[in-house]
Amino acid sequence: MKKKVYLYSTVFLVVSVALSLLFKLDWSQAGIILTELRFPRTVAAVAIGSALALCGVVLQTVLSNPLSEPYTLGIASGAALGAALGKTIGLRLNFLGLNGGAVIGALAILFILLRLVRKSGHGAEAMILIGIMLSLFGSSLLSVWMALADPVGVQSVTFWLLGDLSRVELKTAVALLVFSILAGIFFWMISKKLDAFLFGEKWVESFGVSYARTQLQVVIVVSVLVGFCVSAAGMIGFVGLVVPHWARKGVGSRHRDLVPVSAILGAGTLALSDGLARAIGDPRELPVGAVTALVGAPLFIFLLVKSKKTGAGVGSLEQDGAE
Amino acid sequence: MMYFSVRKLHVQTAEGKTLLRPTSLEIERGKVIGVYGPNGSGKTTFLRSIAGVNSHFQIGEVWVDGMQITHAQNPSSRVHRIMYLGSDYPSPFDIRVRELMEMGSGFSGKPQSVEHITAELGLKALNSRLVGTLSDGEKQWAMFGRALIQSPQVMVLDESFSKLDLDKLLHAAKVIQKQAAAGMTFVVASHDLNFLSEISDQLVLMQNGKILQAGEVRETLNSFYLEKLYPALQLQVIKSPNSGKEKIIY
Repeated sequence: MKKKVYLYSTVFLVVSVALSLLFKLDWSQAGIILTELRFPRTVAAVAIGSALALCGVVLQTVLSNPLSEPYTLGIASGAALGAALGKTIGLRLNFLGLNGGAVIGALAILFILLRLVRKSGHGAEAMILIGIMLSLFGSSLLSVWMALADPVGVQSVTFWLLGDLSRVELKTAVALLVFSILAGIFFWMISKKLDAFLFGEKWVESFGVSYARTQLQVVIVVSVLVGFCVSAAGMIGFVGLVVPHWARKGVGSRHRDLVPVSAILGAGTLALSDGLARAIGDPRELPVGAVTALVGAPLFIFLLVKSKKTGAGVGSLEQDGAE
Repeated sequence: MMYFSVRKLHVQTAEGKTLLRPTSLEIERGKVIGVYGPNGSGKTTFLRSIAGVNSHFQIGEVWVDGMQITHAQNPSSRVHRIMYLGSDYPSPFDIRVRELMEMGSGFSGKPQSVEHITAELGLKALNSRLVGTLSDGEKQWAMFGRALIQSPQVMVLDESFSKLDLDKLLHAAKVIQKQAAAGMTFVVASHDLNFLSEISDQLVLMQNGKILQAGEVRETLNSFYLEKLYPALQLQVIKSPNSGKEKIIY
């Protein structure tokens, strides 16, 4: 059963990558288009897709909230704001096209979020509400900042808000891929600890796992990863929401399998979305974040309504996936 | 030194409100300690603080088998000594009962056999079910199984059987007595005094954040202390013709 899921996921990834590389390819200039344009952005899509899916999985788990992901919690918009502010004030934290300001922004939003949720004493829904408001606030602040302080760059507000994989250089894409794989290995190594979070905050320690320490480790790794992804390609929403739920249907909620499968499916999903964004809009290009949101946003609403109705949470989605 | 001892344990909120007045208790290995008290008498605070999972401010010492239990400790070495199990299990995500049992094994230094405990609790039929689809009682039963597999030296059960039917409750009593005979120590809080009297070697009665009386069941479960707990109620204690244990009639 699980072997099949790995097999199908890998096939999906390969097919998606092939489509993304080859779709509507002008064969007379195939060499240069592939090496100069499509290869770097496909590597970037694979790296960012898997990173976002990984972040979604671990955030959902350590926050006990099935609707969590970097975009809905405002972490992505914090990263975008951090990157834009950092650039304008000349913060020199860049390397390989990745921006340290974005990591700081992502971390700041996550800590603000956790603090607010703790203070308000409310549960999962409050966290999402606060997250979405932080996300809107961050995005608006970003738009205002770009309009006032960075008049030349105003056009790239769209880049930050809807994502764009076309500008990622190959070295940046490769660096992202390395970070994504390292984070994946880290999450896989703590998969047993993550399993202990499946029954909510109160029970984590009855398994012998430190709630605060594990959550902190995850939050830091997620912030770094989201910061790098956003600084390279802007905010791409809902990959981190859709993919983990899809992966859970296949392999259940134990992280030993959930982490790798999510990473593979996430990579394939973003490669496919990027291919679609180019194909649908041809000869122009749709923002890839718009494509992912078109699928992701309805699913988000579906999950929210369903979890309210059953009271059992979103895990009940996998009921039909019996072994 | 006693196997499990609580010394002058004192718990306060951050605002200085006392939740548990200085409490001491000495318990031998393999004993079953029942804890009873009215709602709000401090049972959960007491149980969480002895297990090192209390989030309030606490002073005093808790020792299990020569190691001091504190909140700051590495949870994996702490849980090996003493584990707190509660009563409800919200699960936003879901796993199968079988996976839950394997988790119990994976988190333990010296787990009990998954097969053995699954068979003993009759959980085989539930193995492929998702925990979220179980009834509340079945969830508690599965969680108890997981805890047994994880096999702490002291198991603290805080209303962990509140949703079990009579059949499972008496089954739990048997399992607890068997595990205790094999050396596991239990601290069990319940609102079912008749259940506590059945399984307990000693009974702790709590009132207003302190221990009213602790001792053998026949020394604690009598009209004198019941009247102190509930002056307005007409309660009677009789001996069960079946087990010879004290039972409450009302």
